[in-house]
Amino acid sequence: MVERGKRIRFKFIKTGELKYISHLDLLRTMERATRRSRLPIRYTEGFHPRAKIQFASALPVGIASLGELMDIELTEELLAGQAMQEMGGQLPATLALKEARVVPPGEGPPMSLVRGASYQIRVEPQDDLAQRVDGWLAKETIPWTRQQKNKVRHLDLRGATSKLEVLGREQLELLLFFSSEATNVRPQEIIASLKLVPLEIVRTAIWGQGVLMEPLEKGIE
Amino acid sequence: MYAEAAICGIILEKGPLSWRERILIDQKMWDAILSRVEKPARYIGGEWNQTPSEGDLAVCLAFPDVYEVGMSHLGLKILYQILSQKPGVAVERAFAPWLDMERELQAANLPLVSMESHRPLAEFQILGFTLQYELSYTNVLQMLSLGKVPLFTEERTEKHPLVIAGGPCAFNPEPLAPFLDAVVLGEGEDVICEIVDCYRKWQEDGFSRGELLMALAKIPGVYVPSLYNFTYRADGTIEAIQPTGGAPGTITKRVVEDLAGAPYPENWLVPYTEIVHDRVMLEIMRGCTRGCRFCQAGGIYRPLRERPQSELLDLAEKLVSSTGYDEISLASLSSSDYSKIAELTRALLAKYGEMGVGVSLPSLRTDKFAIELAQSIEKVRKTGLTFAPEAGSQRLRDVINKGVTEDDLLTTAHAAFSTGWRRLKLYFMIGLPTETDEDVQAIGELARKVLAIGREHAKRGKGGVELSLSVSTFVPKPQTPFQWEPQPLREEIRRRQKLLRDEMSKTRSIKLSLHEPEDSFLEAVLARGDRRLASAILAAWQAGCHFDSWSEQFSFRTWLEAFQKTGVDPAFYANRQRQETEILPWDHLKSGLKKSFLWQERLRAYRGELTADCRGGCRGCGVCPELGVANHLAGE
Repeated sequence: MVERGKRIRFKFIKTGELKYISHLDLLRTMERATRRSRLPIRYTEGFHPRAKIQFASALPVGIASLGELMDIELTEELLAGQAMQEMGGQLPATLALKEARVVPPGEGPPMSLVRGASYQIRVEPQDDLAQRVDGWLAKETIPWTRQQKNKVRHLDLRGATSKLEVLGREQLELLLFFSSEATNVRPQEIIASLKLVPLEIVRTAIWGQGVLMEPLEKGIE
Repeated sequence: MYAEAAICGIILEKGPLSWRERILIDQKMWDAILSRVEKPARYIGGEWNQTPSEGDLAVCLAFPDVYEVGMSHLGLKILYQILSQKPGVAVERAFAPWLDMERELQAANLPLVSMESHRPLAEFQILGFTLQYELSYTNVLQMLSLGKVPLFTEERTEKHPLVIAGGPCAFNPEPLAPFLDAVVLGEGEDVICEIVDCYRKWQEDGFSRGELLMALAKIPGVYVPSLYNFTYRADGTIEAIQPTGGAPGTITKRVVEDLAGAPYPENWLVPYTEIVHDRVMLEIMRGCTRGCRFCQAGGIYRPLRERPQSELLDLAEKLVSSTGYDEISLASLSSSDYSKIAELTRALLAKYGEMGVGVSLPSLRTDKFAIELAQSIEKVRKTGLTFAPEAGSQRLRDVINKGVTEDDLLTTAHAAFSTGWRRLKLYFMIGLPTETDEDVQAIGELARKVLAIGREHAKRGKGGVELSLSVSTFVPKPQTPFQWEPQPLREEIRRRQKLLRDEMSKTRSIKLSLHEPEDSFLEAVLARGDRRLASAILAAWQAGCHFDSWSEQFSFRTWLEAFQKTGVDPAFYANRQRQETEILPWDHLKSGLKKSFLWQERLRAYRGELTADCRGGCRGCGVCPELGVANHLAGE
């Protein structure tokens, strides 16, 4: 286990009302936090230098998360714990850092390692929730079109779903496959195709190759 | 704070549920609303550096526009900081919710609430609006209405908030007079605390609301419109403005004598979502000595006061450390005029350049020095430069006392292009007093000369040059030498715009953008209106007008219908030449500029005579003797 390094990977949460800030807002917020912390952050070259921060996956506005991942690059080697302490002190409780580790040189950016994400979803209670989900899972494909400004995207919701489990009348657990080549399915789209009304969606973890990562060390089989 | 309550669970107080508790309890409803609106991040608050202020006297600073605009305003930040440090005061903020949020609030029967504690506006003791531009007036009514606060001062009782206003438009607040309890003239740093103290004493004494207004009227710089009677002549002009109940005959603006040591927002709030001015603003000075005759800010913010350089460096250090912003903007009306501007920028760049923190100058004079300064700042990133010659011909620039020659502009353009800039933007106005067709065409000629210089430089380097012209319509403003002048009729403005468009059609590579004359017309009506306009503003708002400064929301036809319905002739305010002896609606409100000085300046304008910068000697505007202050330069 490398203790010091120039690249640190953090696991952090995005909860409370900060689930309403966009991915770009999050990037700006993290960049400002690094500057406040005075960590020796590395900047990009060029006309408009930006702090070298990379996220594993963009979280749609309105979805909270208990396990987001980001890498920061430094100009000198630091202990992961020290970086976490300094950076963490500059973040609100709703964006708290939970874990940190040094990323060994040569390891790809976090988004290249992501293979999926798991969610906990609370919906308006439905007595036939289990049947509905069973019927949905029994299908081979579930085509879905996403309207995006001028573009239309065609997705297969069923193919992107690794696991969908019912817990009671209003709780679901979902595991979605992500791929770097195709457009990723959003949990809201699964809920909409099930004709359910979502009350709360929380991303519980991001999955890498293998099994669940802590952070990003394990992944989906 | 709401964000914390959402995580930690809700603690209920005893007694009947207030709106605040209802909203907190109904997390589901609020959550559902936030998930439906277009930009939920503008409603969440809880910004970095935000610390809840506690006190039994709740003051809400209200900005009558959306969050991104309001949070970019320095004055709001300064007053917020001052009040947050005042014992016993809880200070919060409110902004105009965008149309989608309005609909959500109305559908759920929820009132407009503050950012911090989600307190409905009606439950504050003091509600303070800032009036930055005339086209935000209907938003004041909209916010009062959404906040369930009675619109008219005469409808409000001891139970309702005291509704006050300040900002540049306070120098003629008459169109809003029936809606405002009190108006603050000038800078709010000291007087806001005096108002709060006065309110507290009144509350303790248990007197009536009328007595509160009387007590407020005795504070220097505080104007209570309901204590003044206006009478009118048959021709519609004002016959007399009479104070009642012992209110003073005139009200003089308040100023901070010296910016050295004046309070500054060190707990700078850093929004999560992008705002208009998303950076550290360092106010390097206040006021302007140039004396451009169309400019209201240049007069009403006099005298000139520069903040000492050492203090600015201290503030920069605190603000960069506490915000993490990557840009420091050196804010003022004319930043390259700051005595020590070169030293200051050099020092800031030396200290923060390494951290990726840049420095920006929002207002540059048209001279070579400004380019050298800009050059020192933007060694790498040459984004674009903006200059404001305001008028195309030398004759007209002399009329407005701009003090910029064609040579200045061309030298500046040369310096800019030769040091690597490729994008230049020039600001002009159409409809200035004495303007002829030749003056309008001269805008095109001047622009072509600038373009030619740019092309010459571009030939030597790589890539082309971009030149754009932004041409607005002149709006005569109160407390300026042009306060008596008519704005040309809309048809005439359109004709001159067409003239310019034809002139520019010869040079299609220059981008020309023209402002709609209707917006400027309404601005001209409201800027110099009297209190008879209030009924038209009310009617326009009732017919759905608000967010008038947002072009997609602006409905000129609805405004015209409102004027017609209320029997107000807008041309009387926008397009009429006033006489020297006419009593103007703001004659009792003193910015320190003497009316006789303004009239003399008007005469000099018509003669094309320049009035020099008052750093070189007093020109007799009256501000320093009237207010008992003086220009303060950082070097002295």
